[in-house]
Amino acid sequence: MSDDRAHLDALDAYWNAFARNVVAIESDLDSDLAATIRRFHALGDHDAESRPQPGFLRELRPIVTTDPPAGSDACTDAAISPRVTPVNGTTISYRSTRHDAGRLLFHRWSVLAGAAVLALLLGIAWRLFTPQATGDRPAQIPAIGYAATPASSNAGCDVQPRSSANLVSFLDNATGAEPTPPTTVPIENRPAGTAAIDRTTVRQVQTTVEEAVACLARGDVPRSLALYSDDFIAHELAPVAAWRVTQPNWAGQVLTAYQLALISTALPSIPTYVDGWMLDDGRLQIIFSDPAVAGVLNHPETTRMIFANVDGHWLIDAADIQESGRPTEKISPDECTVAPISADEIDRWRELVAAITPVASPSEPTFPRFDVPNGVPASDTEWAAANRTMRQFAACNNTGDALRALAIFSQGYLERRIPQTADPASKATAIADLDNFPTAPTPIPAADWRSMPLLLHVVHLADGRIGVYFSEIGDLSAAGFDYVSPFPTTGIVFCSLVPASDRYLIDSCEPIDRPVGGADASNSSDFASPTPSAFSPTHRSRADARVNLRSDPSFDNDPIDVLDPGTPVQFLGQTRVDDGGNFWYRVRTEDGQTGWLRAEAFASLSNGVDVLCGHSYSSWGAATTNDVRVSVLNVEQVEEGKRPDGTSIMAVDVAVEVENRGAGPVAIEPNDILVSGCNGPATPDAADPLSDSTTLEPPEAAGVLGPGESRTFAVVGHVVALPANRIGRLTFLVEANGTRVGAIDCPLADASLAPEAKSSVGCSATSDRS
Amino acid sequence: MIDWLRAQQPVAADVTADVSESDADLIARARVDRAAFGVLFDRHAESVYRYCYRRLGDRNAAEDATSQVFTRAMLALPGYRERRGSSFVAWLFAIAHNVATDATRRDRRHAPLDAAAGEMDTGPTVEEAVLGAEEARSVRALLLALPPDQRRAMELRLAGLTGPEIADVLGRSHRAVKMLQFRAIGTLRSLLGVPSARTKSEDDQP
Repeated sequence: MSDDRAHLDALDAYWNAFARNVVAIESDLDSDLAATIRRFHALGDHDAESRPQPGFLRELRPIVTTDPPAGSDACTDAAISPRVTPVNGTTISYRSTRHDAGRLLFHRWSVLAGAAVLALLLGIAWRLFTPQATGDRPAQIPAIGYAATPASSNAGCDVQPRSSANLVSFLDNATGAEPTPPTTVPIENRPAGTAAIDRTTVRQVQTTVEEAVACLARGDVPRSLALYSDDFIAHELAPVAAWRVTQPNWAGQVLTAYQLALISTALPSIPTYVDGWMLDDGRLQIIFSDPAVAGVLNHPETTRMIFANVDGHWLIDAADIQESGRPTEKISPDECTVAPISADEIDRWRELVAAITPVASPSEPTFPRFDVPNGVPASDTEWAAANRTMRQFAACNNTGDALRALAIFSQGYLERRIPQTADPASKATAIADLDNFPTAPTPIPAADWRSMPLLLHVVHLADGRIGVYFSEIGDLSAAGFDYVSPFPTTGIVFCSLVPASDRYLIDSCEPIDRPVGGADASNSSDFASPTPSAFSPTHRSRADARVNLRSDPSFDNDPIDVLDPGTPVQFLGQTRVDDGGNFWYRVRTEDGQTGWLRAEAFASLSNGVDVLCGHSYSSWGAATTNDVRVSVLNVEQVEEGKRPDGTSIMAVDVAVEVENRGAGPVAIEPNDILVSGCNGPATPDAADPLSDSTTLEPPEAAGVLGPGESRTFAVVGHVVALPANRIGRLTFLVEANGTRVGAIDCPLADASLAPEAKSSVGCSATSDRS
Repeated sequence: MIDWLRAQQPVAADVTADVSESDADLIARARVDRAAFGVLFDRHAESVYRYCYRRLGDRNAAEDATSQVFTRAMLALPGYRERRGSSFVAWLFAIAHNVATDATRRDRRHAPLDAAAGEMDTGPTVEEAVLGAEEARSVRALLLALPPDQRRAMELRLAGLTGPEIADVLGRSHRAVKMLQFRAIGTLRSLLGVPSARTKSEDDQP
């Protein structure tokens, strides 16, 4: 065992010396391994493909090293009074410091809020002031690969946008002073005796955040602003915007790589709900673990956001950041009272591994997954027991003694970690792992001690076990036995605990990547239940391809089924991100199969298609009348040319599926499906006069749909659009048997949009049939 | 290798920089003098680019990612604090790691339909990745033959990072990284055809 450990060390030492170009490397490393390292690096060094294009770095250098625009230090000190009233002993405070545009960007904002701020700034400025600023704008933003707009996304941005007039009102009232970024503050645990917020509210809050991310990701500033409170905009955004637009070249140099990089990289992530409770003033304090923050700032971060209820909707009212993760209560190893497992046990596992019959498979060994069961709220006694076990889990981990740390797991759990079959390499690796098992304690510095997991909920399970949901941010690898860790380094984990002689032991664990709700989460229907409820489709598989339904969220398994395009599925609330960065969703099909689909493999059944003119989409909306369901499958927009007034002529290709759900026939004629939008209000009663040539293709596809029959039609229209990036909506109008039978109607006109109200526009389904 | 790269990188004429000036000194200067960041850029840009290219496999994506890495680094520089046992290189590549991961996710979310449809099934198998002998014996093919966590470690090794730096980037313990690279080097040895010492002639010995 010690020889192997020395081998690992020798390999690392040699490689480190090689990396540091230490010419004369004296090493105990096997010569063949040293030769492998040298050949590997030689291949890398001579890999011409991986070298940058001539000139790229030279062009990039000034972009990332140039100071912000001149005059950006014109801002003077401004006293910003705390906006958030201290409640419950907590506050989000603001410093009063001197700022300039460059330094503003340097502060450690909550990246979500920071990105939002920047996106909103850009959007406000772009939308409202571009004409006035034209003379000062450089011809082109330096072309270093950024798109002019962030990547588009259709997911979840279904909110009434703020109107231009509303936004201008904020600027009119702005003081012109820069706001001060929120300071980094310690985040406290939920106060004792304070209830977690209920599950419904968690969903509402999460929806607000997801919509904010979705709106920002697609560059829809007016809609994203609708998800922030007036206070937030007036205090955080409007002053900045007002200040910026008074500076020369605001639309040029300011809109360079800095903001675009933040917008385009920070927005796709949606933070994970960790905990939340109501403050004395009726607002909500929500703790999120934010992977986007981690992405920028290099370590897991926790974001605290305050939500205010405005007209029945929870809007973002404030946000800040904690530097070092969740509130922590470091648990001393002295608290560990568990007797270590015997070192003989390691030898026994080694024998079990040695007895594995190798199979020729390149896949890594996989460990059995299980469905997270439902349960009923645990008793106080069970809460206390779960708390003790998880505290022991942390304390024994912090001893640095793997044998004691493992003693808090059940025998069954540990043995289930041993694969039943493995390819020869995996088997050898597993044996090597066990040969190198750290049987001697390795003290862990107090700074690296694991903190007490935050127990979110405890349930009593039908088989006598108890289940505990907890949030976990940390890294078991500090204890040197990370290969037995069942946990992600961040996120929410469900573990089941089994009763043992004097305590409960951890018997199974499953990371949960989605919010699990609050105090009443025990009745959650998000997780697979042993007795499935009625099938209730929430999504459909992709409309344009057959997709694989898989047993695990990875490609390392054979599909359990292949779903036809557009197959309805029920999302079961669990998501995963695999090692390759693929997002997976756990779903159930109508015939009862449960499995995983890649994110690209399905889409929401949301109503309506909200589009950014000039962009194409693969998502869809649907409307259902009494007997006809109309689903929009694809929207593609291509600019065909410009009119003299500068507006674009867009070719719009749409795929529409019509399903006859009635008892009688439905006749679809070539002009029965009309597409309009992007150029202004369009209603089923007044199809946009500027759209033309809306036809069904192929014409012979028209015909009669019998009861239960469905058919997909392609519709090609030519729509005159306002300049690109204007937010528009397409309206789909369907007639059958000479009468309008259904429409997806999403009226749009800036003047018609009510300000600031966060209300879902939705797309109403209409029917002229009784 | 980093040192070698540093020696190859031109130092901007408009910046007064001693080639021996440490990253830490340059960081301190860059906080008040943006031009000093240019020297850091010169030192590390190519290795960051090559790392991004190996992660993303596409020139445009790698250029995008490289731009974002340095943009983020510059934005976050005032908050950067060198921790014990850590380094600027590790910090920079942690950003690169995250940018590349984000880019992978984003690309897969927003991939064109045709491209996405093509990805519906499994990626290349190990055999497919290494089949074809010579042409497949590229670095990228070698990396594709490794499990993801080993691949991540090897990509960082190619970028010149040390074991502790890789541990820092990946958020793993140094010991875990040692194990990863031990496993990876075994696979690489067989793929590269490096014969065992026991079968080599004396002439092969270094």
